Amino acid sequence: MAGVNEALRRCAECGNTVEVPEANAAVPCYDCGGEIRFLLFPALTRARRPAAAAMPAVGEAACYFHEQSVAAAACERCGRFLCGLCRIEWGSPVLCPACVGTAEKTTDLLTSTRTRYDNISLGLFALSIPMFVLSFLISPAAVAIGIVALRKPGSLVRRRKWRAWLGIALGLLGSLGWVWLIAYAVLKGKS
Amino acid sequence: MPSTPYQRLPGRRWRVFTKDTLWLGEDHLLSVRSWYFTESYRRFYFRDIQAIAVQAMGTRGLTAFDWTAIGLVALLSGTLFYTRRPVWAVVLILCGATYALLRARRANCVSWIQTAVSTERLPSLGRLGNARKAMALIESKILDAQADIVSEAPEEASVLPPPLPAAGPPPLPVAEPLQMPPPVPALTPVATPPPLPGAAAPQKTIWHQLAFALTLVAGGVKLAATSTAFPLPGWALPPIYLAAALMGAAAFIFRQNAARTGMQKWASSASLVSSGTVAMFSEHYMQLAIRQATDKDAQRVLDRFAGNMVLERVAGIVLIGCAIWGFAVFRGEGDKR
Repeated sequence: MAGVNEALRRCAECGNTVEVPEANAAVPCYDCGGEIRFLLFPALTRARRPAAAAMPAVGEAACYFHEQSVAAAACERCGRFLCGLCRIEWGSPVLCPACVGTAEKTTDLLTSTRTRYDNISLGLFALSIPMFVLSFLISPAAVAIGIVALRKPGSLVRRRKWRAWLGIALGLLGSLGWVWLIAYAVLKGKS
Repeated sequence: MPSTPYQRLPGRRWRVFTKDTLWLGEDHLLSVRSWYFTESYRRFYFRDIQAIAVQAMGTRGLTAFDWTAIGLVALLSGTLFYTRRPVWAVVLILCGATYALLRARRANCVSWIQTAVSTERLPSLGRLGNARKAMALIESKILDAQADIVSEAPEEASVLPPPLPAAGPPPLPVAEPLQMPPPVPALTPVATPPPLPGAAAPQKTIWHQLAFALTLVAGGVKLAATSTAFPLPGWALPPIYLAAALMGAAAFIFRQNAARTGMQKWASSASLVSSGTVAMFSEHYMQLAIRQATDKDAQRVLDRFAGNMVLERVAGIVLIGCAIWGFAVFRGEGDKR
């Protein structure tokens, strides 16, 4: 079956390219006996559907939504090619109508990266162990970043905040340790 | 506490700095690459997925990892044989157990996903068992999402001439009108699109450049201090190394490593590791270690190590080399963009 990218057809063992079956099946590599299991979906045949005469010339990308139109940009979230009609400038990125439609429901769907402030907080506390002398600065920073982690949206897939709470607790512990140490030194000096 | 709308699929892939996982969403697959301080997401909508391939990979051959492990075991065995100290036996057993564990969990397949616009690897599906389980979970969801595409097929076939009146000429054979125009390679424009303006925004490299600049300064100062009568206070170099390491860490935190080529990653890592290593064995810290060492043999060894000018010069050259290499590979990438 045509239309399957060469990267999928290449044997991971010997690099030989295998023939793609017409239906879902495992295909053995004739050179090394390795096996490639293919799962083919209807979207593949849609891509191979014969196009109208007004299709852009070979070598030109077509709009995902209007096959007769030449692509002028790519959606920066899903990568679909867009013609001038379909490109929507959403702030600085260019998006397709489908992505803008889904973005209305929840902004999470436009997120491509997230900073893990909770891990930064924990990492700072971990750093304060080898750099004990600087921990009077690092521990409060761990607390502050832990609070930021509670306020900012965290990971898309792991929504629990226990890391942030742990970072705050450990940072507070380190800060209190320094307060106690300074108070002890001052009181000892007085006596 | 908000619950996640995603269900984690079997399989994960650990690398030195990253972890890849695959999550099942309502209408898409979410491929998550986690650095320690950031996460990046890639979505594959069920409607767009054209094909998935799982390529089995043999695990019989010896890789660079295996050869490294063999070399390490040989070295440790030799050390154990000559020193007869039980500590080396413990180290040998620990290394062997770690190697066996990593070997057993090594990837034995490569998984790919193809959509209308891209072909990407799914690093988390690196074990055949996990890939099979994940495929079983997502196959039905993709087919459900593409059900309307299946129903489009009869529509294409129904583009036939209208039925002829009964009094007209005899009807043509059924196969005749179904003959489609000669197949046009319609995928070609989609599969190999020309680069579009603005599709790939150039990534900033400021933290990398700063790290390389600091590594260059550190190497130059070190070389000057060992080769000439350049007056260098003992505390001057470690802060430079630390700053270079922090710049490297900043590049890592701000995800400037995300789309780097292999060579660029190697250059960044080399700069970071060489700065850190040289900082650890710098004159200042070695003198501290000598003062704190209680064992006289250890003191003598450290003393020799600290006073070795050849080693110091080599360290300076390595630092300069790493910095120049880094500048070169990053400049090349900038030109391409």
